[in-house]
Amino acid sequence: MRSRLADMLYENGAATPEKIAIWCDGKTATYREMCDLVSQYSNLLLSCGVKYGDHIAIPMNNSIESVAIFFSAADLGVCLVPLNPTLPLEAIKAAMDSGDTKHLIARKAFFRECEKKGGVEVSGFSICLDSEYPGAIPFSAIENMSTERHPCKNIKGDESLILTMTSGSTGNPKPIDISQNNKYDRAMAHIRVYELTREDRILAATPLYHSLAERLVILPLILGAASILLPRFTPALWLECVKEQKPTFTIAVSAQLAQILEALSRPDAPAVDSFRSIVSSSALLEKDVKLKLIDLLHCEFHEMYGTSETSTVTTICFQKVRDKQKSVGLPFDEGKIRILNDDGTDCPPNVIGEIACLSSLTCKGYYRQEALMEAAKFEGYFRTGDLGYLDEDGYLYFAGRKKELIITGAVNVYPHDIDAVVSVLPEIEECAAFPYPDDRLGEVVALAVVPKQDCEINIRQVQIYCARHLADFQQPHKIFVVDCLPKNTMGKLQRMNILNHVRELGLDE
Amino acid sequence: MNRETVKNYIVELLQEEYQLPSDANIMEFNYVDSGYIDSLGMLRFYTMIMDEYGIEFEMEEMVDKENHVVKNLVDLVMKKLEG
Repeated sequence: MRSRLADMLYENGAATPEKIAIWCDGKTATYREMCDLVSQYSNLLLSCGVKYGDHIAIPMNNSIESVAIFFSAADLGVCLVPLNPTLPLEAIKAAMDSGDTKHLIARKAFFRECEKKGGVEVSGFSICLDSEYPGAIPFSAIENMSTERHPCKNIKGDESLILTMTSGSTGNPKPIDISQNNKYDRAMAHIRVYELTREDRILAATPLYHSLAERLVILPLILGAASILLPRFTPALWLECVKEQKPTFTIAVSAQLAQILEALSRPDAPAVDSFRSIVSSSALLEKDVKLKLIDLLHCEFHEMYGTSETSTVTTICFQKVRDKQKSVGLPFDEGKIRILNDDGTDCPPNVIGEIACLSSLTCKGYYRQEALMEAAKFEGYFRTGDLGYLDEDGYLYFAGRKKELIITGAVNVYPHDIDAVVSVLPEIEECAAFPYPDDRLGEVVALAVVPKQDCEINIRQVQIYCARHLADFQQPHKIFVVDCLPKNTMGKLQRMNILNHVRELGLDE
Repeated sequence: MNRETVKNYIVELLQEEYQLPSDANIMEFNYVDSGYIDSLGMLRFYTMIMDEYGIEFEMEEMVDKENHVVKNLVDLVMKKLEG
């Protein structure tokens, strides 16, 4: 039996009550204050009638209260369904439905915007985080709650703790089902691999509705270290936070690091010397960017490879392994890698195939969509949809994507979601979203649209339609009107060839 | 439509995810530099204002840095409402 996450937090609360547990947006909470907040939050939920096994939807922002609810959920055996607050209502409803949510915790603006568009129904309670809203319990009720802890006795550890939604605005999102044991194992693996201690100050600078930031805030609080949570990311806010809070460790997404490098390279940029170790995740960093960052940040620089389903699978420290500069490293002790051909046979060293992972850190599955996870596995290995190869020494190299996916600032965007929304416009014959290279975000969403015969497409109207029906990260940054989309002889869309197609037509200038 | 109502609507919209700092001079607040609206969210933010007041913004107006300050955006909305 692994330790329970909330037990570990409360143990740290007892051992170091006055130590700063977390900083976010200028506010801090000591371990004692954090434990009290978690208890009060749990008691608020209990007073609302929440029960072991209930699912709670929460359009989540980065705040101390959001972190507290992770531990409340862990202490009560409740499952959280964190949502991106910018998702359109249809996607919110689909996610809440897929996540089987009974209760809702949100900000007033969320309730108000939902109400305007027909509202969302919950069978349980609603809590309004920042104000009052008709029918919702105000979060201020927490002030009347006891700080006495009432943990649920039934928790085994394998219950769902968090359902992370794969981005989806239509159809069925795939909720990645992560148990308390998963979170514990993932945290312990990272503590061991990156040699984290109670003295560390661990920075999370990505949204809390993604698994990376969840890990980066849970990890320090169960370790007894300090958590530094950036409320929102801009390179300037990151630098200011680093200068003031002096973090020693972070896992950043590569798109952020490229922007940070730009800010660090300015003549008036502050010196950054507090980091002991930085890990880059989600996409391979350009070698040049990597070398400049190492020079400017004066710390160990790691790169990792993983997926939301498997957590981190491989890691490499570039100062320690100088002859593998393009690799994403060796597997964690918890995992194994295979490179598979289409027929399921293993590729020999240095031959590209699909990366498949077997890891004890892998999630429970897709919630209520067990068949989908089974279909994604081959002989127990999770097929990632990424391409890569292993060298003779077992180091993994990333070589691109097999599945159709756009990754913008580390957020996965499924192009089919965008196609489905835009294709209902009456003037459009067909359309396809595709990745477009971007210096800042790695990739952004672009859209190719084919007009119906005798129809004209007003690009601005398409943009506004997208703004109304797609989340922020799904917005097409570029829209190209084309006569046809590239397809193979079987008529299948060649999505990854669209960029070449629009360039050949001279449309991308 | 009065100016205060427009300001309140915009301020509430900006607080979709995060509370504005209590010590901020709201009218001089730059919602882009402070990370409240990013390039990905810009169009959605302006579209919500368009839908609320039945007005239109040009793309140039959305990217104009002057309009990333609350006061100037309120002025722009009022101008469109009165025009």
